[in-house]
Amino acid sequence: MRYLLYSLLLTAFPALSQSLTLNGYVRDARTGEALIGAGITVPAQRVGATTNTYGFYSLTLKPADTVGVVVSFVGFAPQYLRLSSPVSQRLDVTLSENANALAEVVVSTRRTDENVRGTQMSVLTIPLSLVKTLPVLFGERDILKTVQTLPGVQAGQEGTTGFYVRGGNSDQNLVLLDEAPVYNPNHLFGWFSTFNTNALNRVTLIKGGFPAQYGGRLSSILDVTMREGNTKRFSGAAGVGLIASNLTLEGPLNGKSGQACGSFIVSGRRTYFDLLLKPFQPAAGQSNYTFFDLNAKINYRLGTRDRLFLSAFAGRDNAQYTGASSLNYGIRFGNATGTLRWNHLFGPKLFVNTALIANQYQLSLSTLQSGYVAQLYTGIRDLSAKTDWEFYPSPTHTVRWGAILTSHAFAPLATSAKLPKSGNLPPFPTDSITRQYTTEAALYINDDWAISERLTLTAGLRLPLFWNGATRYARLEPRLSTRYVLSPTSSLKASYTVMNQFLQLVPNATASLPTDIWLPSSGRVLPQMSQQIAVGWFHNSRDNAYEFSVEGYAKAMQHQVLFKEGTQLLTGSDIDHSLTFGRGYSIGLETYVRKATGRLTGWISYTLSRTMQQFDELNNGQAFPFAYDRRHNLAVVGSYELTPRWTVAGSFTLYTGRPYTLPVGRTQIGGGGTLYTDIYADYTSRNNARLRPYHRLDVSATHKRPKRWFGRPGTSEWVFSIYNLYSRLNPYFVYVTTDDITRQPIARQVSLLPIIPSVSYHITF
Amino acid sequence: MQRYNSVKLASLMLLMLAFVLLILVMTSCEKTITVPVQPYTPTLSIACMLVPGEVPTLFLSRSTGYFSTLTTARDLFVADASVVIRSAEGVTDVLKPTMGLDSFLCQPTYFYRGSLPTRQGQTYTLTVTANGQTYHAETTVNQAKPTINRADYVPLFKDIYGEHEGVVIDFTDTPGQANAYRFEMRRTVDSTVRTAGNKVYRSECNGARPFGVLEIGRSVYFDTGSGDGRPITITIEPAFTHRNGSPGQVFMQAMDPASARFFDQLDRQKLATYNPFVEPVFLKTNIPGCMGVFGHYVRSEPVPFVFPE
Repeated sequence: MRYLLYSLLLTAFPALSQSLTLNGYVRDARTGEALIGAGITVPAQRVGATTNTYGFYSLTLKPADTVGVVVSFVGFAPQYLRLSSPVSQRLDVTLSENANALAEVVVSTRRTDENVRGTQMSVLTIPLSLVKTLPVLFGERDILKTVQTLPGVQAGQEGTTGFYVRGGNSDQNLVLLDEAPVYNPNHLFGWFSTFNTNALNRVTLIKGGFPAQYGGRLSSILDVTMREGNTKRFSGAAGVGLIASNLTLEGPLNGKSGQACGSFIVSGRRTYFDLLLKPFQPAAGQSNYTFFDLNAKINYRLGTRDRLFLSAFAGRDNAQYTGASSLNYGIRFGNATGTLRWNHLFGPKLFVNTALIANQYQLSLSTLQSGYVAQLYTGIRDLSAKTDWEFYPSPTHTVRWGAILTSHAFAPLATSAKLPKSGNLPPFPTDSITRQYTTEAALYINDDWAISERLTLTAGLRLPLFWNGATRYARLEPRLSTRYVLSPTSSLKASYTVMNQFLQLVPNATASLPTDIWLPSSGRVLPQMSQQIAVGWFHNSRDNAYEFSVEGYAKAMQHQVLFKEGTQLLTGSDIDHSLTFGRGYSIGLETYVRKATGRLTGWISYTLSRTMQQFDELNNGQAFPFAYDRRHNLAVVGSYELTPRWTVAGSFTLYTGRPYTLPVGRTQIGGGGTLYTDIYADYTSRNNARLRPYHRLDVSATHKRPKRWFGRPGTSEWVFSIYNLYSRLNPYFVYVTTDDITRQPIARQVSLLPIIPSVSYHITF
Repeated sequence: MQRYNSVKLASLMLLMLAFVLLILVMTSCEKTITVPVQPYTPTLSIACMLVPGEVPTLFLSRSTGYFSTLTTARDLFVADASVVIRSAEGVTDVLKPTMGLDSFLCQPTYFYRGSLPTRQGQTYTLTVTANGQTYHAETTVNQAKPTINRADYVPLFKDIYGEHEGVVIDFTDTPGQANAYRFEMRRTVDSTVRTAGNKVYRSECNGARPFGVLEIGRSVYFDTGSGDGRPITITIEPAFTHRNGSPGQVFMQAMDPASARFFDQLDRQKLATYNPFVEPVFLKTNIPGCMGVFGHYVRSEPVPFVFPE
């Protein structure tokens, strides 16, 4: 099999037989963790490669008497290797953390300039080390809070779920945790994400120019990779916050010979909000909240060519709240994922990853508001098998191809009605849910081609397929990205992508809680489709310490879904026929300045955008602003190392208020019947009003010092945070009502989170 | 000892912060705000449903900005319009402004009233002229009179409006034509009566004097729901409270479908206003250039009804 493959590939790429290939893994010298995105360059030949998700690289070179190789990764001391009379060989490299990495600006070879040199655009990697110093809510570190400050990303309002990328709805973000989709990556409506930062290796957000291996969503890919665990020694980390604690344990797995042949990591977090709340509750108290999440991963080397990874994640929320009359709810939801992956090296140039993935998401919600109760249930279960092949035939080509097959099972239900006089919530009618089974598949191929030293092209094609009973959809998705280097420190990039989405959330724009229902495409619900073009200028300065980028994009979206006006859902089977379909477009300009090194690190992002939708059956057929259309969005995020022990950080966000629908006029309709004669609203346009602008400043101070725990070297860390420092009562939603006495219509604004101080304590050992 | 005190202090600090946090989180803030007034051009609102055998009544008002201080019926009534209903036979009825009294709410009502009873089978054209603008609409009174087979009472039933008592009506859809039905009930009550939600009552102006109330069901039942010519059973929550033995008369209205769609959207908008989980409903008019409806319904013969509890 291997020889057959090689014969085919050698025929396709004759240059293979006249070159030498270096391949291997790049890892952290201290923990053995894979370094994703590390650079391997041979300056004399002006060629290079970066490590993939598993830390693997393959670099094909021209034959030479000696070869100088530089291996680098941000925050790590680079390795300079000199190979005499080199031959094709396995070259595994370990890098050590650079103690001075944050203290000084160093020579360019030590810095990654991937944002300028890489072909892919609209990609942002979340600096996890910075996330650990940023201000937090309730003492819980959160990567999604950081994602929300990136250019092109709109945050939901306080208490609403998700993030919105380039005019797309929250369901248009594919959130992957070790390749398994996570349908709801949030705890408690977005106040915390389900991702425990202690268990994460890398987080990357892709907003456009999608490589062909990604698909299934229109707007973004949030690719989260869990850590593999420390292969050198048993170690751990723990944290105690105001409402939750976490514990991470990791260590090597030893084989029969006593040599480490793998590693494990287990990380868990649980809130004790319910226990804290208990003393303050009345005897018949109804408010309660708990969540937990658990990450676990094992990686095991089967030999030099094979490696197995088993990852699992489970998270669950259970909340009840009976406070203000406008916000009473009971909700249970949770995700669970499991991924079994097998890495195999067919040779120095051919890397294969094959995975079996299972994931499940369930949400049941009962919401009581103004005497009406809404009940919603969404259940999704996916089983997937996929294989991804990476072939590195020459320094100028990297070819990827693969396939994925997924079986989906859906169980959607939504009802709303007036609360019975008894005051008891009606039983959840889960037995009446009609389950739907669908199949999704995709084939793809992608080539990264360095046409010249200045010009590169990534061309890909993805063929997604979808079956829902007798309904079948097949689509073609071309993907093109190109880069032209203007100078060693700046480049121009452009991309064009087509994406299709066969699963969609049906959002209820009016409700103040996440009453969202996942639905598969069907004969009536057509797949969502988008086309996006983006252009950008990328520039680094001061030896890559500063990164600048300006990106403009335009995105057109077809077959967007909303509920019809006045839809009153009675049973799950009504959902398809309660929907209306339209289109949307989004245009925007994103600017991003990031300082990646030094004592002061952080970024400033500003997005100017406009997102509109048009549905024939809504708003009299006229275009209207998307529910998360915000013209201006500014985020300033920074962390400053005052002393080796003290770090201060801050995060300021300012954005245009979210649109909502407000009646402009009112009309009296007579006609007899005392109850019938009444005032009715005259709506002139959907989403015609806006909440007040949102702004908030969070600050934090972190004190970190070395400390021995259990006889081992470690650290202890206090993090003091203040969320919403100046306690601005940002609008959560606005509703209209009538004064009981004067009969004068009035508008009421509900706000949620005032100033919230918090403290957390973390240790590593 | 010093270490013990340090731990104790940290624990105390954590507990205090947790307490502050809980207080803050549990107190969401709600306040009345002033929203920027958006430009709004008032339009005329016309509501006129012809009923065979009865003189026409037309409600005419002007819409206003949503947050305007004009809140009473008199504020919005248009008294200086020309309102004419003409039959296909050329008979003209000029409607005159007048007023009545809503005894339950103890407030005046304003409307236009004609003098010629509506005739079954006739086509009528409405012409309203106000502020130099003229509006036209037409209806042909051709719905067949419905027949109630049975009127009954149920102490408890569930619908989207909740769990409550109901009046059960059995009738059969008239085959061969598109129909839409509404419930109607007339009763004599006194000032102790309340609305079913126990919210609205201002009937103290009546003293001990009994007065009549008319209740028309908000829900519209289209015959497409059961099929042409099929038996239909509907259950309606009474709009007002009652006593054991309170008598009344129930009717069914058979309405022209175009008017029914107008009233149905009113119902759905009202529901969307109350129910935060429903998208707002934009009103669509049946009369070009203004907001409103001009149509007809045919009322069944009355059926006596007595509340058994």
